[in-house]
Amino acid sequence: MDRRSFVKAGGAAGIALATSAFSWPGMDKPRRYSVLVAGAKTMLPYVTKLAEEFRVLHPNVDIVVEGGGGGAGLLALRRGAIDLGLMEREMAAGEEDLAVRSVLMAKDAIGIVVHPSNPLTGLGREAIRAVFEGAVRDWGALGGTPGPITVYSRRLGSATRVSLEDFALGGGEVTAAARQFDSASAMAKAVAGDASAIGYLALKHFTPAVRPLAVEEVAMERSAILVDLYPYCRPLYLLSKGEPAGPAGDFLAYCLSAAAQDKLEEYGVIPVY
Amino acid sequence: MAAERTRYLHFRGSSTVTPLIQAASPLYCREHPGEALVLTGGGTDRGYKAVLEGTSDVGMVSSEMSEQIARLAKRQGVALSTSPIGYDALVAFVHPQNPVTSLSQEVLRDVFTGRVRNWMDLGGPDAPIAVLSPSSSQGTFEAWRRLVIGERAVIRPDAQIVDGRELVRRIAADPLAIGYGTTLLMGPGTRALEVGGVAATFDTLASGAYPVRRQLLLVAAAEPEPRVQAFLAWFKDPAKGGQVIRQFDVVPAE
Repeated sequence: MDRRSFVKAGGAAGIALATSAFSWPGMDKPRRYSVLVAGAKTMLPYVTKLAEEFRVLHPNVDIVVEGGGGGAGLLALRRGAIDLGLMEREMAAGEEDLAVRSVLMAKDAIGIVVHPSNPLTGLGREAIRAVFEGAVRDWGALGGTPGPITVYSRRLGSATRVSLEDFALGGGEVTAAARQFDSASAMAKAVAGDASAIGYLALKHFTPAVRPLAVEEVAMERSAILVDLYPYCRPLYLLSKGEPAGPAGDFLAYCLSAAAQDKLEEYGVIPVY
Repeated sequence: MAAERTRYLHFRGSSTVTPLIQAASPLYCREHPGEALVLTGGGTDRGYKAVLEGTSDVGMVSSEMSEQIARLAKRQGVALSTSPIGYDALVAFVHPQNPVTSLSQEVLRDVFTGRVRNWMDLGGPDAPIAVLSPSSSQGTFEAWRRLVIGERAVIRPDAQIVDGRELVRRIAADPLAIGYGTTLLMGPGTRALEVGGVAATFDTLASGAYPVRRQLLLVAAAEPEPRVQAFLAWFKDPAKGGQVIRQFDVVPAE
């Protein structure tokens, strides 16, 4: 009875989820449980890591984490095909469903960083977009010291890069002229060594050797992110149908626990518990 | 010795009430070290629901409970406590270069339902009116429908749907756009329209001369935890939260 069979969640959702939970009645084997989690792709890295941590504590629970997008996850949740949904935004008016419970797990934010010698202390959203898309190439055009702008970026596939593109480029792409780096620390080091640089980092990767820019005159501080004042931030929600019970409820509770919240901070998002 | 964990107070709901809590946050946290305020949106109904479900400590709301939410509360057998904040004004607003300064309630209705579609009909240039509106999950949308458009009318289907500060940004960038929202989110880049020659000010709001106003509230569990209780008391205190409210054109509840 704790086995769940997951069917294709209809053409609209496009997520096919299957479980191979098994038990042998009469045998002295611990029961296995499955928890299906699906939704916003950008939340996958964090939730997958938390699922691995949870597995250490609960070896008989399989947590399957899939993408598909927040909207598709919500649909699958409403149809009972999954246990928990992932959404990195509010539900849109058309999606709003008062039967769906949403809990804030953390916040995601991205900071724009320059070399400490850069006279600029902040930029507006249009300017940031223009710079990262390669449309504006000289600091003089932004009111800074005239000279070429060197754009620093993470590689394609990096979750941080996707964050930057979501927040700052509205679906656009970082200019092909950007210098690319494999890690946040490599990016930070490079920006720290280049007076013409502009790059982007999660809060946790800031070093004193780089200077974060205010965005629309709001400095990237934890408190500004927490109250939604800083423009480049978004909520990371766990969705369920009513209060989740059993292993799904345990996993959700784990995600809000001190241990998991500390891990989320390590992973580069902002804890809220 | 391990550092003490930050204790978070969770707020959820109305984009109108959001600026008040954002302004309160630095003051409150300075007086309560070790506490932090967390806030996300989702609209008034979501604010009520979050408190009913226990996923948020405080709901930020800009209207009474909808029927749907009232039924949910009844089903769950959960009672809520409400802390009225005060009244805000809803204004139509335009780009500062727009020559229009005042519209009657009837004409406002016609603009937002699509009966009037060109600025020329309002004494402006010969150009189509770009209408922006918050999404229907926002209390602001509901209030505008109730107070301006009319319960039975419908906002024009081609209205661009944008929430909160983004709506203000778009109006500030487009001389042919019109939107509506709370005075709490207005800024120097936009201009509020008078309604029938009456501007929305603290005085006209208090006297009722400005006709489009509604109540803002914070909701919490009927018997909230001490930390939540402490915030609500602080926010109600005229010397504390009262100072925050006074920065905005909100007529305090008394």
